[in-house]
Amino acid sequence: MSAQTPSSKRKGGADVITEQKRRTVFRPVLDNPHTKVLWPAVSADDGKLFVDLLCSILQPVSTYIDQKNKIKQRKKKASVTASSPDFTDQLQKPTRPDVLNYLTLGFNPTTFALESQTASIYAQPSYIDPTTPTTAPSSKKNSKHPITAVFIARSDITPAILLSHFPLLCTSSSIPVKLVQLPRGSLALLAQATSMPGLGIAGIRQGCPDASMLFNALERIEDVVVPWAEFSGRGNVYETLNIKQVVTSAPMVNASSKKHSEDD
Amino acid sequence: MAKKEKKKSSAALTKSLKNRDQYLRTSFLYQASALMANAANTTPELAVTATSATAPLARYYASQMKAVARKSVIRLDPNIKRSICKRCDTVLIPGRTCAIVVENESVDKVPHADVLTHTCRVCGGQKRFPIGKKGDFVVFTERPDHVVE
Repeated sequence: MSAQTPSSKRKGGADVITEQKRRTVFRPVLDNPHTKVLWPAVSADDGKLFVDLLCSILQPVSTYIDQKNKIKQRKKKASVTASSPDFTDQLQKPTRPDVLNYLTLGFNPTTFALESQTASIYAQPSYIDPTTPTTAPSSKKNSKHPITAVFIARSDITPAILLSHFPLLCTSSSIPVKLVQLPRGSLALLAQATSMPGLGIAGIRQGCPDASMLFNALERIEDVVVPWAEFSGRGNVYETLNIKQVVTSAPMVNASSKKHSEDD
Repeated sequence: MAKKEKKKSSAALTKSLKNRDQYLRTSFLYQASALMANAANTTPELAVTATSATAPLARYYASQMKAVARKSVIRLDPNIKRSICKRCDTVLIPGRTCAIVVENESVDKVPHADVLTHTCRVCGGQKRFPIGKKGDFVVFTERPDHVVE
């Protein structure tokens, strides 16, 4: 009761009571001192070139996936109507193109591959045999070539947290990995080229066939630099205070109403 | 009054910051924690697991940072909070102490059921981001109408 009386005296009467007035306020937020990670710049021409080259490499994947989808559909139909085993046999299993062994398509495969090739900065505990390789604990993945470049349709993918780990994974890899952001609209092109809807992330392994042009063009792209992640412990720079000011609103508290409530 | 305030720049506001020392302390603790987490472990005799020997120290600094921020009512940017495990205060470094995966537990793999999951490799704690449900989500400190230049 006491808090409402002064506001009801104001203009507007009853409306003011329900709709409390708010004022704009500035609130300081401690920002992450370690967020300044710049993605390497890609010129517009290079961006187009990368998309074109990638699409040409991905061409055999498209036909393979189309055929696979067809078989899946037929199998579904067959199981719905009646079981006719010879019907599904009519379609041959498509041969898996060799390129697929040199590609990681999509978020999860690319992230897994990068995680598996993270350089080990930690000395192995003494009970672990020193002859075992320090990088990539799984021997299955070791048989594959390491990833050397990651292509990401950055401006087509939201939210930003989906891509936040890629720069760090690229720098902490045991072999250098180039991080390439593709121009806006390339997600649709990549998806079309592979018949995989929503494909915006692709990684290329070392020694990918028919990709010499792509690897040549990659040399123009700079390596990712994460200034605070000098993993050796050297070269760490202490960042100064990083404060972000955010505009929000807060309820108006009248001086008189405050006094009033204090009296009660 | 409000009009005057709007003209204020971020730098001017930061100059007149209340309890600056606490902000500095929080910032320092965060960086110390990251440094300890990233420190290379060069002595195999001390290594218990294949992580940094100073990892416990990193966790201690991170928990201190959270305590200081809570006590002195400092708002931490979501980026800071997300880089530390909620459960055990380990600094989450992708590829080392953190596994990142997009999960979809729906039967038909509907796109709106996509969930980005950060899993702490030390304690197994998970942080899940329903990216499929709210794909255009931007944290409040990065929304254009909230940011002060």
